[in-house]
Parts: sequence; C-alpha cells; structure tokens
Amino acid sequence: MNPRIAGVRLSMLFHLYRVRLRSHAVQELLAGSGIAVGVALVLGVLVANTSLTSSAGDLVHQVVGSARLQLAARSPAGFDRRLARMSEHLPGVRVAAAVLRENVAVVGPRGRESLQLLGVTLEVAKLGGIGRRNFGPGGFSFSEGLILPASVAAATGAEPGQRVTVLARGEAHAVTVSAVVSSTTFGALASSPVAITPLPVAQRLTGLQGRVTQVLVQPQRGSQARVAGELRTLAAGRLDVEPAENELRLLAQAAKPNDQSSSLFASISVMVGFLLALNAMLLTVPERRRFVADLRMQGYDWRQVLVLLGFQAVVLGLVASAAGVLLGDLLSHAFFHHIPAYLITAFPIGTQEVLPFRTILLALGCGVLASVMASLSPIADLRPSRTTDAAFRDRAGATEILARRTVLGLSIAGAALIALITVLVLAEASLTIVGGVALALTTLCAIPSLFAAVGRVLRWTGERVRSSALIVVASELRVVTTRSVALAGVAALAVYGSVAIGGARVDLLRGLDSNFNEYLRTADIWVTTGGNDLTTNAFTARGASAAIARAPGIASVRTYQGGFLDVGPRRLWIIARPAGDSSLIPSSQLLHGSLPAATRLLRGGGWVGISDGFAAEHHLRVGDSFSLPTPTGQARFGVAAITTNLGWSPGALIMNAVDYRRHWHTGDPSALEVDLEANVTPAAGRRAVERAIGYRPGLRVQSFRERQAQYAADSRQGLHALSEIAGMLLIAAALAVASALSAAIWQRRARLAALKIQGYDTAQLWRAVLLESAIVLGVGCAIGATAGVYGHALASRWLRLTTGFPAPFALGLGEVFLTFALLAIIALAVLSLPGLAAARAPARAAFQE
Amino acid sequence: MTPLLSFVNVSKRYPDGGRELLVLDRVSLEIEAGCSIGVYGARGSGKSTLLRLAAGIALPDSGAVCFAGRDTTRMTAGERSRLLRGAIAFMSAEDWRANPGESVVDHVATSLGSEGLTMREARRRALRVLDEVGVGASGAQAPVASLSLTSRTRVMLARALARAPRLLVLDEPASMPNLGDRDRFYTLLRSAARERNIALLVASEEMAALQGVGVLMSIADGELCSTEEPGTLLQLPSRRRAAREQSG
Repeated sequence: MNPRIAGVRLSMLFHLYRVRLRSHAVQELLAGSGIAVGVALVLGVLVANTSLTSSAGDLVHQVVGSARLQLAARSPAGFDRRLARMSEHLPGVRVAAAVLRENVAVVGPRGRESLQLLGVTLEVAKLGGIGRRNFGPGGFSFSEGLILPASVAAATGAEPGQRVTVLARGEAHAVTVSAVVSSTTFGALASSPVAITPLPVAQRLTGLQGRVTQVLVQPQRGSQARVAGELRTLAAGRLDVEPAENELRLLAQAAKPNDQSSSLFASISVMVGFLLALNAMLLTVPERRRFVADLRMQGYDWRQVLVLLGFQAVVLGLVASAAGVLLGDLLSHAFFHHIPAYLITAFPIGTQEVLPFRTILLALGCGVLASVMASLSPIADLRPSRTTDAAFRDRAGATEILARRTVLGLSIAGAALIALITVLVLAEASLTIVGGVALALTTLCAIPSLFAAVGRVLRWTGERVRSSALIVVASELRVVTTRSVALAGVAALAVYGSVAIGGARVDLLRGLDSNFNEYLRTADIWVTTGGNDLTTNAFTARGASAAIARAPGIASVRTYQGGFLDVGPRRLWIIARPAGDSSLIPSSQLLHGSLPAATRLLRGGGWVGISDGFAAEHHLRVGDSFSLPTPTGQARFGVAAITTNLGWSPGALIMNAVDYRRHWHTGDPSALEVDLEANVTPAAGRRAVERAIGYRPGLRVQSFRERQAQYAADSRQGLHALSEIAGMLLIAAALAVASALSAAIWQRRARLAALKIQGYDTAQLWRAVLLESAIVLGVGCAIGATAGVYGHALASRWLRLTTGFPAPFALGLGEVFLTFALLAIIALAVLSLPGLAAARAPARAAFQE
Repeated sequence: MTPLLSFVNVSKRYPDGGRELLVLDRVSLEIEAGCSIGVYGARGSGKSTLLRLAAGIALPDSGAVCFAGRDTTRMTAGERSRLLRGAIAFMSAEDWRANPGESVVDHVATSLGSEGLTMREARRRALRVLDEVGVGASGAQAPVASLSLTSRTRVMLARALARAPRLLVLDEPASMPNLGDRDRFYTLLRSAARERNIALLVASEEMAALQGVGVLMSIADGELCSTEEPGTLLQLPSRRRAAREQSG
C-alpha cells in the first residue's frame, strides 16, 4: 500500500518528513511541545468541566435503573412505608422500590467520611442498575451489613467483616461492613460517597422506623402518564411526584454556576490552548517557507506542496496532540478530582473522572487544526505574483512586518470591541461569557500598538543609554512583527485568564466569607451533626437543649432547623431560624426590602426571605405571597426580603423556626445555637456544652470561630476548580511562552552569530535575548493584566447578577502583580538556558542557513 | 617587527561524508600593518576557511594564527569577540542578516553596539562612514531590506570601516553584476584602506577583485603559495605539483 497523493507516493511523504525531522529536530520538538502543552490545557479544562455532572449522571442511572418515576419526600423524615406498598399495587405499576436516603458519617480506623446512606429493598434488583448484577444470583448476599464503595473504604480504613461506626441523626451505631465494592462491579458507585444497606437496617440506623424517603417506580409500557396521575393522588400534595432522574435536574441547577463559571474560564483556557499550539507552529513558518521554495525549485507543483505541508502538519499535530492528551489526562488526575464540598452536602457526587471520547477528539482536533492552520501561511508563497525563491530573498523578514495602518486598524477594532462588549454586557448580563471571550480577543488587537509604543521608547532610550543589549533589542523590536505579537499574545491571554478568574474567585470568597460570618455569628457555640454541611442534617435532641441550658456559663439555647426542599428545578436551602436570633437575614446579603421590616415580619411568622434567582423564576417581589410545597402540603408565605443565594447556588429560603416546625411537622433541630454569658470564653463555653450533652459522637460542638473556619475552608474547596484552572492556565502558558520564545530565539541563531562577527560577545547577546524576551513578556502581561482587571469586574458582576452569589468587586493589585511576576519569572527561568545556548552559537553559524 | 597577522603551519579539516577533507594544509603567511594580500582560488579551494581563521571566527586543527603577536587559538571566546569588535573587521555577503524594518544607518549603528556606544553615538559614526563610502543621507534612511546588491556591499563596507579596524578581511566582497560598479567599489576599498592604514586580506575567485593588492597568493587543494609580482600569471599549486611530477 503506497498510494499516490497528488502524484507523490505516501512513502515519499514519510521520507521527506523524516528528512525534516533530522535537519530541524529542535524546532520540530519545540513546536510539538507547544502544541502538546496547548492540547493538555484544552483537555484538562474540558475534563474539569464535564466530570462533575457526568459522574453524577452515571451514579443516578445506576441507582434508579429502569425506573421512570419517583415519589419523593419533602423532608429527611420521609413518609410512611405503607405509601410505598400502596404504590406497588397502583394500576400500571410494574415495579416500585422503596429507598431511604439519609446523610450520615462513617467512622473507620483511619478516619471519618460523610456520605449518603441508601437503604434499599430487593425490589431494586428488578430495576436493573446496581440491583440486577450485584444483588441477583451470584452477586452480593443482601446481609445485614453495610456495603461501602472502595473510595470510602480506603479513606476510612474499613474492611469487609470489620465493624465501623455510623453517625446518623446525632446517634452512633456500630455496623459490620459486609462488602467493599470496586468500580468493576459497581461502576461510578464505587467512587461515590454512598453506602448501601437493607432498608430495615437504614431505618434502624436513622431512627426512622417504618419510613422511607423515596419510591422508585417503573410503570408498565405506555402507562407512565397514568401512573404519574395515580401517584399524585397518593401523594395528596404532601410528596413530590417527579421523573426518576430528577436528581440530575436538581444537580444541574445546583452545579449551574459552577458549570457556567467553569465554562467561561474553560472557553478562555481553550482559546489560550489553541493559540499556544498555533503560536508554536507559527514559529516554524520561515523554515517551512524555505522548504516550500526548495520544493518548487525542484519541480513540485502547488498541489504537491500543499499535500506535503498538510501531511507534515497533520503528523506533527497528531503526535503532539496525542502527547498533549496524555499530559492533559495526568493534569486532570492531579488537579481536577475535587468535588465541591457544598455540593456533596446535597448530592452524592463521585470523584470518578469521566473522559468522554468526544473530549479527546475535541482536544486532538484543536491541536491538529492549530498545526494545519499555522502551516498554511507559507502557501502565500505559492501565489503567481511571488517568485519561486521568494522565501530565500526575504532575509530581512519583510513579510513578517505589520504595517502601521494594520496596527492602527487593530487598535481601533480593539477599542470598538471593548465598547461593544461593555454595552452588551451592561444590557444583558448573561452575555458575559461571550464578552469574556471577545475581551480576550481585544488583548490581541491591543498588542501591536503597545509594541509600537515600546519600540519608540526603546529607541529613545537606546539613543541615550550605553547598553549593547539595548541596541540589539531596539533593533529587533524596531517594527511590529507577527512573531513578537504572537509571543506576547500568548502571555497576554494567560495573564488575562488568570487575573479575571483569580479576581472573580477572590471576590466570591470575600462575599461568601462575609455571608457565612453573618450567618454564624448569631451564636457563640454551635451544636450540629458536624461534617461539611450547611447545617441541614437534623438530629434527635434527646434533651440536649435543656441539659445545655442548665450548664454553667450558658446564657441561652435556641433550636435552629433547616434542610433542603426541592421546588421545581431547585433544591432550596431552608434556613429556619429561631425568632430569638439576633439577626435572621444577613444584612450584607439583602438585595431588596428593608432589613428591620423583614426581620419583624419573619419573627411574626408567615413571611420568608427568598433568594433573587428563585424570586425571579417565580416573578416574586417583596410583599408578594406565594405557595410553597412542604411536607404537610402547600403553605402560603409572604416575601419579606430578597437576598443573594447565601452561598448555595440553587438559592435559599429563610423562615421562622416556628413556621418550619408547623409545616415540616418536626421539632428535631439541625443545630442548637448557644449563647454564652458575657464573662465566659468560647473554649470554656464549648467544654461546658460538651459536658452537658454527654458522650455523643454523632454531635459536634464548635465555637463560632471554629465553625466559621470550617465554612471558609469549604468555600475555598468549593472553588478549587477555579483556582486550579487559573493556576494551570498560568503555568501552561508560562511553559508554552518559554518554549515559543526558545524556538524563536533558536531560529535566530544565525542572526545572533552574525552579530558575533560584528564583535558582540556571548554575554552581551545573552543579555539582549533575556531583555528582548522580558520586553515581549512585559508587553503581553501588561495588556493581559489590564484586560484581566476589566474581565474580573465583568465576571464579578456576572456572578452577582446571573448566579446570585455574593461577589463584591474589589481590585486586587497585589494578585495582578503576582500573576504578572509569576508568568515572567517562570518563562524567563525556562528560557534562560536555551537563550544562553543560542547566544553561545559560534560566529561561523552565521554562514549556515 | 611582529607582523599584524601570521599563520604558522595552519591545517584545517572538515568532515566529508565518512572521511575527512583537508581544507588547509600547513599554511603559513604573514601580513604587515597597512599591507594587503589577495588570495585567488576556485570555489571550494579553502579561501573562506583561511579568512575565517584569520578573523578568529573559526579555529585551526593545528598550527597557530597570531594577531599582533598573540595566538588567537589560545584566546578566550571573549578575547576573540573583542578582536572582532575593533581590530579585525570581517566582511562577507554570506553573513548578511538584517532585522525586519531596519534602516541602513541603524543597521550599521547596531553593529557598533558591542562597543558600548549609545545609539545616538553609534548612528553619528555610522552616518559619517556611510557618507565616506558613498551612501548619502537619504540612502542612509532607506530600509535595508530594499538595497540592491551593489548598495548592500557598500553598506557592508561601511559597517566594517565604522569600527576602525587594523585588519579588514573580505571574503568574495563584490559579487556585482555591473563591472563598472565593481571597479568603483574596489577603488573605494583600496583608498579607504590606504587612508586608514588598514591591512587587507581579500579572497576571491575573480582576479579583478584582487587588483592592486600588495601580495597576490593562490590557493588550491589546501595549499597556499605566493607570486613574486602582482599581475603575473599565477601558477596554481596543483599545476606546479603536476609539473614537478612530470619533471621528476
């Protein structure tokens, strides 16, 4: 098999590429590594963006199997199992499997893990999913013990046959681990924070005897609508009837800001990655032009030249992109396996990384496309107006120069684009993602004019300062070339992305810290079930409140309640505060309404504070009333205030604890708020509370500061992906810029050697190389930082308006400078050795082309 | 009196496929300050290698190349750079490299940057020398990329003269299509060298380029020999060897 393509044998194409590899190994390696870094960045970010919902999707599919509908409780206390049995006998129902879900913690010899306990019956086997394969014949015996995923077993040190402690609703229970399951038998479940046990065991552990929280229903063929109607009748307005995969819809809503912000930053990163790859290839253009001229002089026609160029670009693109995919996979393993803690409190999301085939194809495609696009520029030499040997005669690089009118035109286009972005984003905040990408493009438009200005400054300085390096650099940067713009462009995009992402992240953290500070400071001591929760896990008080109130140094004890409530596509965070709390609504989070009036209304009952997103979705304003689905049926509330989402993306709802008790029909606290007497320190108060409640490993006593620190840590962990994307973007770009600069300098060895014949020594040339690189980086970083600050302001505004998160904008010059310095230092450090090698090129290298 | 440049039994080999090619074979020569030597030889005869060794751009495999009594092979790379910065100027069409958008005067001035001049000082000196080689003020501001072969050679000469060298090494200095231009260039070169007391070492495969040199030498197969009188018919070493073999 040796076909001809445009008259050239395939073996000849390979041979010519081997020749090129032998003669230009260093350039090809540098171009390849640039492409690989770009592709790695693209893949890493794409994986980060898809793993969260994909792994959750796998898990939900495994649990619900072939079920199509579900009957779901509106509170963790669930509903009577008899309803589940009744649903089994509804007309049109094929299978109905009862499930009890409860957030618990498992404590093993090595540690404690928060997870969701799934109490299931053998009916789940009939739904397929986890059931058929694992609990059917030849599968796991459905014993009294706990089935743990391998990830949880590894974290807690639990082994099959060993007893572990399960902390549920404030109580501790010893349970035997019956099995530890791996991904080969349980798929995504093996890396998810869940534990499976028979329903009666789950009911005993949670103290919810005779109750379930969910019934998964598989209707007979063609009976789904009818069964849904029957289930609604059975639910009598006190339970939700939803599609079985509703959990995914809720998760998508909860993860939406995370996904949206990741998408914004991922688009920037993907663009940077693509440009890194493109830039790496662009640097080989002068050589490829000479290669084309050579071929044409040897009789190759334009089609054959195109085939050769395309073939070489595709081979390099494919090989480098494949290396990039491997590198990207490593990066995503190293950085992107953290699931935001705040989401784990409401959804059992696994840490299984999902690498869809289309993501690999997209990353490979980016690399090959960049490689092919960049290699097309020598085609200009194939025009009839160009002589065959044009590349050999363009020794002064005249074709690289950007004309003055082009520079001016780009500046005007950049300014117009910024104006357009500003107008569009101010008019419609959801256009910020498009604006962010467009803003990245303006950095490229602005670079040539800054280069022109820097060139003038360099010439002015060179006139007055004795510096051989300065003279060389002023000569090199005399005009604006595509090469220097491309190099600075990568630095600009990297700094832009990092500053915008990093700035928005810091704003978000500041907003969240301020929010949780206000949320928690209503009590000196908090008694909760612990874990990384939003104070949503209820527990059995067993007289703890009265015992604490009797303890010395305690001023007061109040019962705080709360949980999650699914309303439409949102899993709302319910905050039910005792009327005695000093503050019911965090003042910093109030968007609409009067704080004193809203507080008074909430204390009186029948009024709530709701998040902006929920209010907008239901067209609610302060003073309106609306109907809320509660475990006891629909309840009407007035809107006393509209707030931010209080740090929980689907939104929050603040109400009086008395209202909660009435509509949720439970007095179980999810926290006890304890105030200390004036002369009691938090440490002494905490000890007093611990003594008062006695030995209860299922409860955690924390001072305000300790709980605040826990929330702060969770916020930071929740935004981990953002900081990782920003960091990886910066490091990848620094390495790519260094590699591109090295390639550019390596190509100029002959010119540097020619300067040696003019008497320049190695040290002078090395200083010149470093100075020129620093200037190129400086220009890119300065433009990138400026655009980044604007991008940061837009991103923070978008976070506030579109996602409802508290994210007040504040300019962090220190962080901007740090980003700037980090990129420059990494790039210059990496470049210094190849720069020295190029500066050490012997003078005779000037005679070698 | 110490000669300005001397070669003592200098040999140089280059790899040629699987074997080694002897390019210079125990070559010896001397050149005094202000004198000139012309080396005639065919392409591939070793001329360029001889000149690059003379300028310290390349180093011999054996023998010594001394400039003002100092063996360049024993100099550090920095010392050799300093020689090229002042005492020796090398001029060859092959090392012509210009930056994009560079003007003629800036091109010449940039080459002076290694001496630690400011650009203003370098440009002033460059303008003066350009004027001396016949490139006027308007020509000095022209983009270097647009120069004809003739003008480029004059600019290269200006670049060499601007550093006030004691030795000017010229490798095939004037490949010009127009004979009149070429003659004017050589006249300019000789007068410039005479006025500045610069020693010239010129190599070419064209005899016309070597007119007026003090000593004419020929090179072939790595061997160098001199003629007594400039302008006499050259007897190339290979022919002499053949003649010796015939008589022997």
